[in-house]
Amino acid sequence: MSGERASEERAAEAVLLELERVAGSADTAVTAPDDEVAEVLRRLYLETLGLLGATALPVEPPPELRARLLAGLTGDETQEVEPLAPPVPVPAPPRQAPAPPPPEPLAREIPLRGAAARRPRGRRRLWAATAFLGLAAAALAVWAAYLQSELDATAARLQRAEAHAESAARAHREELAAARGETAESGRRLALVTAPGAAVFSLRPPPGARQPSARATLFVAPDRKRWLLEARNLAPEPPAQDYQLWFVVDGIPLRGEVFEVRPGQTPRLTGEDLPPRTAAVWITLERQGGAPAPSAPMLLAAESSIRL
Amino acid sequence: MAIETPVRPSSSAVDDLALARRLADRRPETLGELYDRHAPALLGIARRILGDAGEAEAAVQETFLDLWSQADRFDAARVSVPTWLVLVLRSRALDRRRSPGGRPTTTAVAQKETATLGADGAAFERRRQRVLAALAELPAAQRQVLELIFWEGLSRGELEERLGLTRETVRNLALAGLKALRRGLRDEIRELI
Repeated sequence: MSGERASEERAAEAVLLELERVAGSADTAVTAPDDEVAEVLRRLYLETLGLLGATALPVEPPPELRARLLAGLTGDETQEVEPLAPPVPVPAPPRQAPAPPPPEPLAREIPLRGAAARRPRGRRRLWAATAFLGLAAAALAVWAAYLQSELDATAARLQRAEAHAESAARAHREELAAARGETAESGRRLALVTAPGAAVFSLRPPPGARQPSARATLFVAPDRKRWLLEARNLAPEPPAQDYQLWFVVDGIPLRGEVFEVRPGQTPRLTGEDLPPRTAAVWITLERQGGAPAPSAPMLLAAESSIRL
Repeated sequence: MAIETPVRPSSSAVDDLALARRLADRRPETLGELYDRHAPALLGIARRILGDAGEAEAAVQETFLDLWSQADRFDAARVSVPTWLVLVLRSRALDRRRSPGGRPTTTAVAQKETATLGADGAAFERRRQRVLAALAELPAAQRQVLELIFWEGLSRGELEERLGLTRETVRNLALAGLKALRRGLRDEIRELI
Protein backbone atom coordinates (compact mmCIF):
# COMPACT_ATOMS: atom_id res chain seq x y z
CA MET A 1 0.00 0.00 0.00
CA SER A 2 2.80 2.41 0.83
CA GLY A 3 4.30 1.91 -2.64
CA GLU A 4 0.96 2.67 -4.20
CA ARG A 5 0.49 5.82 -2.19
CA ALA A 6 4.02 7.01 -2.79
CA SER A 7 3.77 6.47 -6.53
CA GLU A 8 0.53 8.40 -6.78
CA GLU A 9 1.67 11.21 -4.52
CA ARG A 10 4.88 11.62 -6.45
CA ALA A 11 2.96 12.03 -9.69
CA ALA A 12 0.42 14.43 -8.19
CA GLU A 13 3.09 16.47 -6.51
CA ALA A 14 5.21 16.67 -9.65
CA VAL A 15 2.25 18.03 -11.59
CA LEU A 16 1.44 20.55 -8.87
CA LEU A 17 5.05 21.71 -8.83
CA GLU A 18 4.97 22.10 -12.61
CA LEU A 19 1.88 24.21 -12.19
CA GLU A 20 3.67 26.45 -9.71
CA ARG A 21 6.17 27.38 -12.37
CA VAL A 22 3.95 30.03 -13.84
CA ALA A 23 5.91 30.70 -16.98
CA GLY A 24 5.86 27.68 -19.23
CA SER A 25 4.08 25.62 -16.65
CA ALA A 26 2.40 23.52 -19.27
CA ASP A 27 5.61 22.50 -20.94
CA THR A 28 4.82 18.87 -21.48
CA ALA A 29 8.44 17.82 -21.42
CA VAL A 30 9.35 19.19 -18.02
CA THR A 31 10.24 15.91 -16.41
CA ALA A 32 11.06 12.57 -17.87
CA PRO A 33 9.11 10.08 -15.80
CA ASP A 34 11.09 7.05 -14.84
CA ASP A 35 8.49 4.50 -15.74
CA GLU A 36 5.21 3.92 -17.46
CA VAL A 37 3.17 4.13 -14.26
CA ALA A 38 4.55 7.53 -13.40
CA GLU A 39 3.95 8.68 -16.96
CA VAL A 40 0.34 7.58 -16.92
CA LEU A 41 -0.36 9.02 -13.48
CA ARG A 42 1.28 12.29 -14.44
CA ARG A 43 -0.96 12.51 -17.47
CA LEU A 44 -4.09 11.78 -15.44
CA TYR A 45 -3.24 14.56 -13.00
CA LEU A 46 -2.47 17.00 -15.79
CA GLU A 47 -5.86 16.29 -17.35
CA THR A 48 -7.49 16.70 -13.92
CA LEU A 49 -5.93 20.11 -13.47
CA GLY A 50 -6.89 21.13 -16.97
CA LEU A 51 -10.51 20.31 -16.16
CA LEU A 52 -10.51 22.92 -13.39
CA GLY A 53 -10.61 25.45 -16.23
CA ALA A 54 -13.95 24.05 -17.30
CA THR A 55 -15.62 25.79 -14.36
CA ALA A 56 -15.23 29.12 -16.15
CA LEU A 57 -18.15 30.13 -18.33
CA PRO A 58 -17.21 30.24 -22.01
CA VAL A 59 -17.10 33.62 -23.69
CA GLU A 60 -17.81 34.18 -27.38
CA PRO A 61 -14.65 35.69 -28.86
CA PRO A 62 -15.04 38.77 -31.07
CA PRO A 63 -14.61 37.93 -34.78
CA GLU A 64 -11.64 40.24 -35.10
CA LEU A 65 -9.65 38.11 -32.64
CA ARG A 66 -9.71 35.17 -35.03
CA ALA A 67 -8.86 37.39 -37.97
CA ARG A 68 -5.98 38.96 -36.03
CA LEU A 69 -4.63 35.57 -35.03
CA LEU A 70 -4.69 34.17 -38.56
CA ALA A 71 -3.29 37.38 -40.00
CA GLY A 72 -0.41 37.08 -37.57
CA LEU A 73 0.35 33.65 -38.97
CA THR A 74 0.55 34.93 -42.50
CA GLY A 75 3.43 37.11 -41.44
CA ASP A 76 5.20 34.10 -39.99
CA GLU A 77 8.31 33.57 -42.04
CA THR A 78 8.40 29.91 -41.16
CA GLN A 79 5.05 29.35 -42.75
CA GLU A 80 5.15 27.48 -45.96
CA VAL A 81 2.08 28.02 -48.03
CA GLU A 82 1.54 25.00 -50.16
CA PRO A 83 -0.09 25.63 -53.49
CA LEU A 84 -3.56 24.12 -53.74
CA ALA A 85 -2.69 22.63 -57.10
CA PRO A 86 0.59 21.73 -58.69
CA PRO A 87 2.21 24.52 -60.62
CA VAL A 88 0.47 25.08 -63.88
CA PRO A 89 2.77 25.14 -66.85
CA VAL A 90 2.52 28.14 -69.05
CA PRO A 91 0.04 27.19 -71.74
CA ALA A 92 1.42 26.82 -75.19
CA PRO A 93 0.63 29.69 -77.45
CA PRO A 94 -2.62 29.10 -79.27
CA ARG A 95 -2.41 27.27 -82.52
CA GLN A 96 -2.67 29.67 -85.36
CA ALA A 97 -5.29 28.88 -87.91
CA PRO A 98 -3.93 28.93 -91.40
CA ALA A 99 -4.06 32.51 -92.29
CA PRO A 100 -5.82 33.38 -95.45
CA PRO A 101 -3.79 35.16 -98.03
CA PRO A 102 -3.29 38.65 -96.84
CA PRO A 103 -5.91 40.87 -98.30
CA GLU A 104 -4.95 43.84 -100.11
CA PRO A 105 -4.63 46.88 -97.97
CA LEU A 106 -7.82 48.82 -97.88
CA ALA A 107 -5.98 51.82 -99.04
CA ARG A 108 -5.59 50.06 -102.29
CA GLU A 109 -9.30 49.62 -102.54
CA ILE A 110 -10.02 53.25 -102.96
CA PRO A 111 -7.57 54.65 -105.34
CA LEU A 112 -8.85 57.91 -106.61
CA ARG A 113 -7.40 57.79 -109.95
CA GLY A 114 -5.88 55.41 -112.48
CA ALA A 115 -7.28 52.15 -113.93
CA ALA A 116 -8.70 50.90 -110.69
CA ALA A 117 -10.63 54.04 -110.28
CA ARG A 118 -12.51 53.14 -113.33
CA ARG A 119 -13.73 49.72 -111.86
CA PRO A 120 -17.41 49.62 -111.33
CA ARG A 121 -18.34 50.73 -107.78
CA GLY A 122 -20.31 47.47 -107.10
CA ARG A 123 -17.30 45.24 -107.71
CA ARG A 124 -15.15 47.31 -105.44
CA ARG A 125 -17.71 47.02 -102.68
CA LEU A 126 -17.93 43.27 -103.12
CA TRP A 127 -14.19 42.94 -103.00
CA ALA A 128 -13.99 45.02 -99.83
CA ALA A 129 -16.73 43.02 -98.15
CA THR A 130 -15.00 39.76 -99.08
CA ALA A 131 -11.73 41.01 -97.68
CA PHE A 132 -13.41 42.15 -94.49
CA LEU A 133 -15.16 38.82 -94.03
CA GLY A 134 -11.90 36.99 -94.67
CA LEU A 135 -10.15 39.01 -92.03
CA ALA A 136 -12.98 38.50 -89.57
CA ALA A 137 -12.96 34.74 -90.21
CA ALA A 138 -9.23 34.62 -89.66
CA ALA A 139 -9.54 36.56 -86.43
CA LEU A 140 -12.36 34.31 -85.25
CA ALA A 141 -10.30 31.22 -86.06
CA VAL A 142 -7.39 32.56 -84.05
CA TRP A 143 -9.71 33.42 -81.17
CA ALA A 144 -11.34 29.99 -81.26
CA ALA A 145 -7.95 28.29 -81.21
CA TYR A 146 -6.94 30.41 -78.27
CA LEU A 147 -10.13 29.60 -76.38
CA GLN A 148 -9.67 25.90 -77.09
CA SER A 149 -6.15 25.97 -75.73
CA GLU A 150 -7.39 27.82 -72.64
CA LEU A 151 -10.08 25.21 -72.17
CA ASP A 152 -7.54 22.42 -72.51
CA ALA A 153 -5.24 24.08 -69.98
CA THR A 154 -8.12 24.65 -67.53
CA ALA A 155 -9.25 21.05 -67.87
CA ALA A 156 -5.72 19.87 -67.19
CA ARG A 157 -5.48 22.17 -64.18
CA LEU A 158 -8.77 20.88 -62.82
CA GLN A 159 -7.64 17.30 -63.29
CA ARG A 160 -4.45 17.97 -61.40
CA ALA A 161 -6.33 19.82 -58.65
CA GLU A 162 -8.77 16.92 -58.36
CA ALA A 163 -5.93 14.42 -58.11
CA HIS A 164 -4.23 16.58 -55.51
CA ALA A 165 -7.42 16.96 -53.49
CA GLU A 166 -8.05 13.22 -53.64
CA SER A 167 -4.51 12.54 -52.50
CA ALA A 168 -4.84 15.07 -49.65
CA ALA A 169 -8.16 13.55 -48.61
CA ARG A 170 -6.61 10.08 -48.62
CA ALA A 171 -3.70 11.34 -46.50
CA HIS A 172 -6.11 12.94 -44.03
CA ARG A 173 -8.20 9.77 -43.85
CA GLU A 174 -5.08 7.78 -43.07
CA GLU A 175 -4.00 10.38 -40.55
CA LEU A 176 -7.38 10.22 -38.85
CA ALA A 177 -7.26 6.44 -38.77
CA ALA A 178 -3.79 6.59 -37.23
CA ALA A 179 -4.97 9.12 -34.68
CA ARG A 180 -7.96 6.94 -33.83
CA GLY A 181 -5.71 3.91 -33.44
CA GLU A 182 -3.29 5.79 -31.25
CA THR A 183 -6.05 7.20 -29.11
CA ALA A 184 -7.71 3.81 -28.78
CA GLU A 185 -4.41 2.25 -27.75
CA SER A 186 -3.82 5.02 -25.28
CA GLY A 187 -7.38 4.59 -24.06
CA ARG A 188 -6.88 0.86 -23.54
CA ARG A 189 -3.82 1.48 -21.42
CA LEU A 190 -5.42 4.26 -19.46
CA ALA A 191 -8.57 2.21 -18.95
CA LEU A 192 -6.51 -0.19 -16.89
CA VAL A 193 -5.07 2.52 -14.75
CA THR A 194 -8.29 4.37 -14.25
CA ALA A 195 -10.22 1.18 -13.45
CA PRO A 196 -10.59 0.83 -9.70
CA GLY A 197 -8.58 -2.17 -8.54
CA ALA A 198 -6.16 -2.32 -11.48
CA ALA A 199 -2.64 -3.37 -10.51
CA VAL A 200 0.78 -2.63 -11.94
CA PHE A 201 4.07 -4.51 -11.81
CA SER A 202 6.92 -2.12 -12.47
CA LEU A 203 9.83 -4.22 -13.75
CA ARG A 204 13.35 -2.89 -13.12
CA PRO A 205 16.79 -4.42 -13.77
CA PRO A 206 18.21 -6.15 -10.70
CA PRO A 207 21.65 -4.90 -9.59
CA GLY A 208 24.29 -5.87 -12.11
CA ALA A 209 21.79 -6.70 -14.85
CA ARG A 210 23.06 -6.53 -18.42
CA GLN A 211 20.61 -3.85 -19.57
CA PRO A 212 20.49 -1.25 -16.79
CA SER A 213 18.33 1.22 -18.71
CA ALA A 214 15.64 -1.32 -19.63
CA ARG A 215 12.21 -0.97 -18.05
CA ALA A 216 8.88 -2.75 -18.35
CA THR A 217 5.42 -2.37 -16.92
CA LEU A 218 2.81 -5.08 -16.57
CA PHE A 219 -0.70 -3.74 -16.14
CA VAL A 220 -3.24 -6.16 -14.67
CA ALA A 221 -6.96 -5.60 -15.12
CA PRO A 222 -9.20 -5.66 -12.05
CA ASP A 223 -10.34 -9.20 -12.95
CA ARG A 224 -6.73 -10.30 -12.29
CA LYS A 225 -6.67 -12.24 -15.57
CA ARG A 226 -6.16 -9.81 -18.42
CA TRP A 227 -2.82 -8.08 -18.63
CA LEU A 228 -0.72 -5.81 -20.81
CA LEU A 229 3.06 -5.66 -20.84
CA GLU A 230 5.02 -2.73 -22.23
CA ALA A 231 8.81 -2.82 -22.32
CA ARG A 232 11.19 0.04 -23.05
CA ASN A 233 14.88 0.26 -23.85
CA LEU A 234 15.29 -3.48 -24.31
CA ALA A 235 18.02 -4.24 -26.83
CA PRO A 236 17.13 -6.48 -29.79
CA GLU A 237 17.68 -10.08 -28.75
CA PRO A 238 20.88 -11.83 -29.92
CA PRO A 239 20.57 -14.43 -32.71
CA ALA A 240 18.82 -17.65 -31.73
CA GLN A 241 17.47 -16.14 -28.52
CA ASP A 242 14.15 -14.65 -27.39
CA TYR A 243 12.96 -12.67 -24.44
CA GLN A 244 10.67 -14.61 -22.12
CA LEU A 245 8.17 -13.48 -19.49
CA TRP A 246 7.76 -15.38 -16.23
CA PHE A 247 4.91 -15.23 -13.72
CA VAL A 248 6.07 -16.17 -10.24
CA VAL A 249 3.49 -18.01 -8.14
CA ASP A 250 4.37 -19.27 -4.68
CA GLY A 251 8.03 -18.73 -5.53
CA ILE A 252 7.86 -20.83 -8.70
CA PRO A 253 8.37 -19.09 -12.07
CA LEU A 254 5.68 -20.20 -14.52
CA ARG A 255 6.39 -19.98 -18.22
CA GLY A 256 4.95 -16.86 -19.88
CA GLU A 257 5.00 -15.34 -23.35
CA VAL A 258 8.07 -15.27 -25.56
CA PHE A 259 8.72 -12.08 -27.49
CA GLU A 260 11.15 -10.31 -29.78
CA VAL A 261 12.35 -6.73 -29.80
CA ARG A 262 12.87 -4.75 -32.98
CA PRO A 263 15.09 -1.66 -32.97
CA GLY A 264 13.15 1.45 -32.04
CA GLN A 265 9.99 -0.48 -31.16
CA THR A 266 8.17 -0.67 -27.86
CA PRO A 267 7.09 -4.29 -27.43
CA ARG A 268 3.53 -4.64 -26.21
CA LEU A 269 2.08 -8.01 -25.19
CA THR A 270 -1.39 -8.77 -23.99
CA GLY A 271 -2.88 -11.84 -22.39
CA GLU A 272 -5.95 -13.09 -20.63
CA ASP A 273 -4.39 -15.82 -18.58
CA LEU A 274 -2.49 -14.29 -15.69
CA PRO A 275 -1.95 -17.17 -13.27
CA PRO A 276 -3.83 -16.69 -9.99
CA ARG A 277 -1.70 -15.52 -7.06
CA THR A 278 1.02 -14.12 -9.34
CA ALA A 279 3.25 -12.29 -6.89
CA ALA A 280 6.20 -11.36 -9.08
CA VAL A 281 7.08 -11.01 -12.76
CA TRP A 282 10.44 -11.55 -14.44
CA ILE A 283 11.90 -11.21 -17.91
CA THR A 284 14.89 -13.27 -19.02
CA LEU A 285 16.71 -13.92 -22.28
CA GLU A 286 16.24 -17.57 -23.29
CA ARG A 287 16.87 -19.79 -26.27
CA GLN A 288 14.71 -19.15 -29.32
CA GLY A 289 11.14 -20.28 -28.69
CA GLY A 290 11.49 -20.07 -24.92
CA ALA A 291 12.53 -22.38 -22.09
CA PRO A 292 10.44 -24.41 -19.62
CA ALA A 293 12.23 -22.78 -16.69
CA PRO A 294 14.47 -19.71 -16.44
CA SER A 295 18.01 -20.62 -17.47
CA ALA A 296 19.54 -17.14 -17.60
CA PRO A 297 19.88 -14.28 -15.15
CA MET A 298 16.91 -11.98 -14.72
CA LEU A 299 17.04 -8.92 -16.96
CA LEU A 300 14.01 -7.27 -15.40
CA ALA A 301 12.01 -8.13 -12.31
CA ALA A 302 9.13 -6.83 -10.24
CA GLU A 303 8.79 -8.59 -6.92
CA SER A 304 5.52 -6.93 -5.99
CA SER A 305 2.67 -4.99 -7.54
CA ILE A 306 0.95 -1.77 -6.69
CA ARG A 307 -2.76 -1.26 -6.88
CA LEU A 308 -4.08 1.88 -8.48
CA MET B 1 -6.36 -11.04 -26.52
CA ALA B 2 -7.64 -7.56 -25.75
CA ILE B 3 -6.62 -6.46 -22.31
CA GLU B 4 -9.66 -4.34 -21.61
CA THR B 5 -12.79 -3.32 -23.37
CA PRO B 6 -11.37 -0.47 -25.37
CA VAL B 7 -12.31 2.96 -24.24
CA ARG B 8 -13.95 4.47 -27.27
CA PRO B 9 -12.07 7.69 -27.86
CA SER B 10 -14.46 10.58 -28.11
CA SER B 11 -14.69 11.96 -31.62
CA SER B 12 -13.79 15.32 -30.16
CA ALA B 13 -10.51 13.99 -28.78
CA VAL B 14 -9.73 12.28 -32.08
CA ASP B 15 -10.53 15.41 -34.08
CA ASP B 16 -8.32 17.49 -31.81
CA LEU B 17 -5.50 15.01 -32.20
CA ALA B 18 -5.84 14.93 -35.99
CA LEU B 19 -5.93 18.71 -36.14
CA ALA B 20 -2.88 19.01 -33.91
CA ARG B 21 -1.02 16.66 -36.24
CA ARG B 22 -2.09 18.62 -39.27
CA LEU B 23 -0.64 21.77 -37.72
CA ALA B 24 2.74 20.43 -38.75
CA ASP B 25 1.69 21.20 -42.34
CA ARG B 26 1.67 24.90 -41.36
CA ARG B 27 -1.81 25.58 -42.66
CA PRO B 28 -3.41 28.52 -40.90
CA GLU B 29 -6.89 27.11 -41.51
CA THR B 30 -6.02 24.14 -39.28
CA LEU B 31 -5.22 26.49 -36.43
CA GLY B 32 -8.45 28.29 -37.28
CA GLU B 33 -10.38 25.05 -36.76
CA LEU B 34 -8.74 24.47 -33.39
CA TYR B 35 -9.45 28.07 -32.50
CA ASP B 36 -13.13 27.67 -33.38
CA ARG B 37 -13.37 24.60 -31.16
CA HIS B 38 -11.58 25.95 -28.11
CA ALA B 39 -11.44 29.74 -28.14
CA PRO B 40 -14.72 30.32 -26.24
CA ALA B 41 -13.66 28.10 -23.35
CA LEU B 42 -10.19 29.62 -23.30
CA LEU B 43 -11.49 33.15 -23.43
CA GLY B 44 -13.77 32.34 -20.49
CA ILE B 45 -10.79 31.14 -18.48
CA ALA B 46 -8.67 34.14 -19.45
CA ARG B 47 -11.48 36.53 -18.54
CA ARG B 48 -11.83 34.87 -15.16
CA ILE B 49 -8.11 35.21 -14.46
CA LEU B 50 -7.56 38.64 -15.95
CA GLY B 51 -10.92 40.35 -15.86
CA ASP B 52 -9.96 42.72 -18.63
CA ALA B 53 -11.38 41.72 -22.04
CA GLY B 54 -8.45 43.03 -24.08
CA GLU B 55 -5.87 41.34 -21.89
CA ALA B 56 -7.82 38.11 -22.01
CA GLU B 57 -7.99 38.18 -25.79
CA ALA B 58 -4.25 38.84 -25.96
CA ALA B 59 -3.59 35.82 -23.73
CA VAL B 60 -5.78 33.62 -25.94
CA GLN B 61 -3.99 34.85 -29.04
CA GLU B 62 -0.60 34.12 -27.48
CA THR B 63 -1.75 30.63 -26.55
CA PHE B 64 -2.72 29.75 -30.10
CA LEU B 65 0.51 31.26 -31.41
CA ASP B 66 2.36 29.03 -28.94
CA LEU B 67 0.50 26.02 -30.27
CA TRP B 68 1.34 27.08 -33.82
CA SER B 69 5.02 27.54 -33.12
CA GLN B 70 5.35 24.37 -31.02
CA ALA B 71 3.17 22.13 -33.16
CA ASP B 72 6.05 19.87 -34.11
CA ARG B 73 6.85 19.31 -30.43
CA PHE B 74 3.32 18.57 -29.30
CA ASP B 75 3.19 15.07 -27.81
CA ALA B 76 -0.33 13.71 -27.75
CA ALA B 77 0.74 10.79 -25.57
CA ARG B 78 1.55 13.16 -22.73
CA VAL B 79 -1.37 15.55 -22.69
CA SER B 80 -4.61 16.15 -24.56
CA VAL B 81 -4.97 19.17 -26.83
CA PRO B 82 -7.63 20.92 -24.69
CA THR B 83 -5.61 20.44 -21.51
CA TRP B 84 -2.46 21.70 -23.19
CA LEU B 85 -4.30 24.80 -24.33
CA VAL B 86 -5.88 25.39 -20.92
CA LEU B 87 -2.61 25.05 -19.03
CA VAL B 88 -0.64 27.23 -21.46
CA LEU B 89 -3.39 29.84 -21.41
CA ARG B 90 -3.50 29.80 -17.61
CA SER B 91 0.24 30.30 -17.54
CA ARG B 92 0.07 33.17 -20.05
CA ALA B 93 -2.81 34.84 -18.25
CA LEU B 94 -1.11 34.60 -14.85
CA ASP B 95 2.07 36.03 -16.38
CA ARG B 96 0.07 38.97 -17.65
CA ARG B 97 -1.64 39.47 -14.34
CA ARG B 98 1.67 39.49 -12.51
CA SER B 99 3.35 41.82 -14.97
CA PRO B 100 3.83 45.42 -13.73
CA GLY B 101 0.78 46.70 -15.63
CA GLY B 102 -1.34 43.71 -14.68
CA ARG B 103 -4.50 44.12 -12.68
CA PRO B 104 -6.09 41.90 -10.09
CA THR B 105 -9.46 40.60 -11.12
CA THR B 106 -12.69 39.37 -9.74
CA THR B 107 -14.60 36.48 -11.13
CA ALA B 108 -17.71 38.62 -11.37
CA VAL B 109 -16.26 40.56 -14.30
CA ALA B 110 -15.62 37.43 -16.27
CA GLN B 111 -19.10 36.07 -15.83
CA LYS B 112 -20.76 38.88 -17.70
CA GLU B 113 -20.40 38.01 -21.34
CA THR B 114 -21.11 34.36 -21.72
CA ALA B 115 -21.30 32.78 -25.08
CA THR B 116 -24.30 31.45 -26.87
CA LEU B 117 -22.65 28.46 -28.42
CA GLY B 118 -25.50 26.17 -29.41
CA ALA B 119 -24.65 22.47 -29.19
CA ASP B 120 -21.08 23.26 -28.17
CA GLY B 121 -22.45 25.41 -25.40
CA ALA B 122 -24.49 22.49 -24.12
CA ALA B 123 -21.40 20.28 -24.08
CA PHE B 124 -19.39 22.97 -22.30
CA GLU B 125 -22.15 23.37 -19.76
CA ARG B 126 -22.45 19.63 -19.13
CA ARG B 127 -18.72 19.36 -18.47
CA ARG B 128 -18.78 22.51 -16.36
CA GLN B 129 -21.54 21.13 -14.18
CA ARG B 130 -19.74 17.80 -13.73
CA VAL B 131 -16.52 19.52 -12.70
CA LEU B 132 -18.38 21.82 -10.34
CA ALA B 133 -20.10 18.80 -8.83
CA ALA B 134 -16.79 17.01 -8.35
CA LEU B 135 -15.33 20.10 -6.72
CA ALA B 136 -18.35 20.39 -4.47
CA GLU B 137 -17.64 16.88 -3.21
CA LEU B 138 -14.26 17.99 -1.85
CA PRO B 139 -13.83 19.28 1.67
CA ALA B 140 -13.90 23.09 1.59
CA ALA B 141 -10.23 23.48 2.52
CA GLN B 142 -9.05 21.18 -0.27
CA ARG B 143 -11.27 22.93 -2.79
CA GLN B 144 -10.02 26.33 -1.70
CA VAL B 145 -6.38 25.34 -2.01
CA LEU B 146 -6.85 23.86 -5.49
CA GLU B 147 -8.78 26.87 -6.69
CA LEU B 148 -6.20 29.30 -5.39
CA ILE B 149 -3.43 27.31 -7.06
CA PHE B 150 -5.22 27.11 -10.39
CA TRP B 151 -6.94 30.47 -10.65
CA GLU B 152 -4.52 32.70 -8.81
CA GLY B 153 -1.33 30.76 -9.40
CA LEU B 154 -0.37 30.90 -5.73
CA SER B 155 2.74 29.00 -4.72
CA ARG B 156 2.82 26.94 -1.55
CA GLY B 157 4.62 29.73 0.25
CA GLU B 158 1.96 32.24 -0.80
CA LEU B 159 -0.80 29.84 0.20
CA GLU B 160 0.84 29.35 3.56
CA GLU B 161 0.77 33.09 4.08
CA ARG B 162 -2.72 33.63 2.69
CA LEU B 163 -4.39 30.80 4.58
CA GLY B 164 -2.31 30.84 7.75
CA LEU B 165 -1.49 27.14 7.39
CA THR B 166 1.81 25.32 7.53
CA ARG B 167 3.44 24.44 4.25
CA GLU B 168 2.99 20.75 5.01
CA THR B 169 -0.73 21.23 5.55
CA VAL B 170 -1.04 23.13 2.30
CA ARG B 171 0.77 20.33 0.50
CA ASN B 172 -1.42 17.65 2.04
CA LEU B 173 -4.61 19.54 1.23
CA ALA B 174 -3.53 20.05 -2.38
CA LEU B 175 -2.52 16.43 -2.88
CA ALA B 176 -5.60 15.01 -1.23
CA GLY B 177 -7.84 17.34 -3.21
CA LEU B 178 -6.17 16.54 -6.49
CA LYS B 179 -6.35 12.80 -5.89
CA ALA B 180 -10.02 12.97 -4.97
CA LEU B 181 -10.73 15.16 -7.96
CA ARG B 182 -9.01 12.73 -10.32
CA ARG B 183 -11.23 9.94 -9.08
CA GLY B 184 -14.31 12.11 -9.25
CA LEU B 185 -13.57 13.20 -12.82
CA ARG B 186 -12.70 9.77 -14.20
CA ASP B 187 -15.32 9.94 -16.96
CA GLU B 188 -14.34 13.44 -18.06
CA ILE B 189 -10.69 12.43 -18.22
CA ARG B 190 -11.61 9.47 -20.40
CA GLU B 191 -13.42 11.81 -22.76
CA LEU B 192 -10.32 13.94 -23.06
CA ILE B 193 -7.97 11.09 -23.84
